[in-house]
Amino acid sequence: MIAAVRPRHVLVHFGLHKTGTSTAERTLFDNRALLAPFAEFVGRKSWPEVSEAAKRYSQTPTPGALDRLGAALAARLSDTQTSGPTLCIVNVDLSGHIPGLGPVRDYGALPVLIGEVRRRIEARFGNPDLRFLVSTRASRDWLASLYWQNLKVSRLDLDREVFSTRLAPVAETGPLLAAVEATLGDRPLIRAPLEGSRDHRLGPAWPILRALDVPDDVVAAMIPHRRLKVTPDEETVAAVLELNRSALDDEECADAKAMLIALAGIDEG
Amino acid sequence: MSQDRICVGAFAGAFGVHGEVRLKSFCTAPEAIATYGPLWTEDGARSFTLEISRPIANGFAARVSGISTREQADALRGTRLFVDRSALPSLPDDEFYHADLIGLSVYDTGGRKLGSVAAVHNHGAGDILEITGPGLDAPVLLPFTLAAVPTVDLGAGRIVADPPEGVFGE
Repeated sequence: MIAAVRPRHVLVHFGLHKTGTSTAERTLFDNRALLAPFAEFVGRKSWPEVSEAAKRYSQTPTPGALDRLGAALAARLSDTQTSGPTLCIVNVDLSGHIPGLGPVRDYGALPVLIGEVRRRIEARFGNPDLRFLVSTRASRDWLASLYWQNLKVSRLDLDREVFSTRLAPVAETGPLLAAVEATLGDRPLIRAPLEGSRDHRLGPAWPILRALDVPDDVVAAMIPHRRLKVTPDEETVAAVLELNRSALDDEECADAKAMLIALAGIDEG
Repeated sequence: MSQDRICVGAFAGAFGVHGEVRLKSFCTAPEAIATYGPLWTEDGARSFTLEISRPIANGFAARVSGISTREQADALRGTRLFVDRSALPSLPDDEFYHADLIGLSVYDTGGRKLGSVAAVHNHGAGDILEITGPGLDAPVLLPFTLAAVPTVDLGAGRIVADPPEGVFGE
């Protein structure tokens, strides 16, 4: 960076889980050539050690784990150019592990994680135009989606109602996002409810495009990512639950679930 | 990361039907993009001379050397534009941007390498360099003062540190 070139703008979309983040990321990457003058995208898999370090911190929130995240982020950021189009980091793993009934039960680590992301970006770019964007979802739909995700990836054996009751406090994101805002100081946090972009052609990518100030004619030229089928029918949910409750070992159970989900034509969300 | 070429803008497609391009500028004074001489693609394979026609939403309409049709202008969409950093004005001596310091190698006054600059922090009491390296168990924080960092040589990609006793654990 030198005097004649403005500090690079940075936009960080860090989740939350099950709010269309995968669809948004895929839409942006599918159209990255078209969007190149406006943003350079960094996705979940672009900086895998950063994603891993953030998830580990959410599981074991120690100073050492935070240092490892900071070091991983600093190393990656040091390889980014300091001038150019907005650096747009779209990585739900910055929120840590998805909450469930395993070791990570809520978003308690999120404010610290995002505070560290902020510090590292500022340490790299000085005083950039830095904004954060979080997508949210109505609690009932969010809990149903969270339940399905946990059914798929773990041996969760609870009914949806019981699960939803236990996780209901996590779905109330108001206090959580207030705590995130407190760590961000004067850096804006843009809130993007999934319901607000559901009818837009580009779905959950739309709030990000708006934040990037992409012109209308460019948005119109973008190709939407195909709609993912991520909501299972009730029979599939019941069948996966039964597999989780079965005597199959973990590997057999995972294989059986994968086959069942594939036969039902359901995409990874 | 040392940057010999600086990205100052990008072509965002055709503007109108007469061969103008939509130009996005990343310069502090956006219109200055047209004053640095030829602009290059990142690999240096092509160069362009620009003439700004007028400001438009999100940038400028501009004429580009060798581009006279909408199709040619549209084919440039997404091309990022670079200049040699030597062509750009820089800060006065003894002033540095954070990003210029990241990645510099850190040597002590005896020429021994201590590590490299991983980050620059400022919590309100002056800049602090975060130094990491294979020989360091944990990041070292070094005040970015003339006493602790007497030499910064951006051209050579190195700084010389004269740290207060104990900072590097010795």
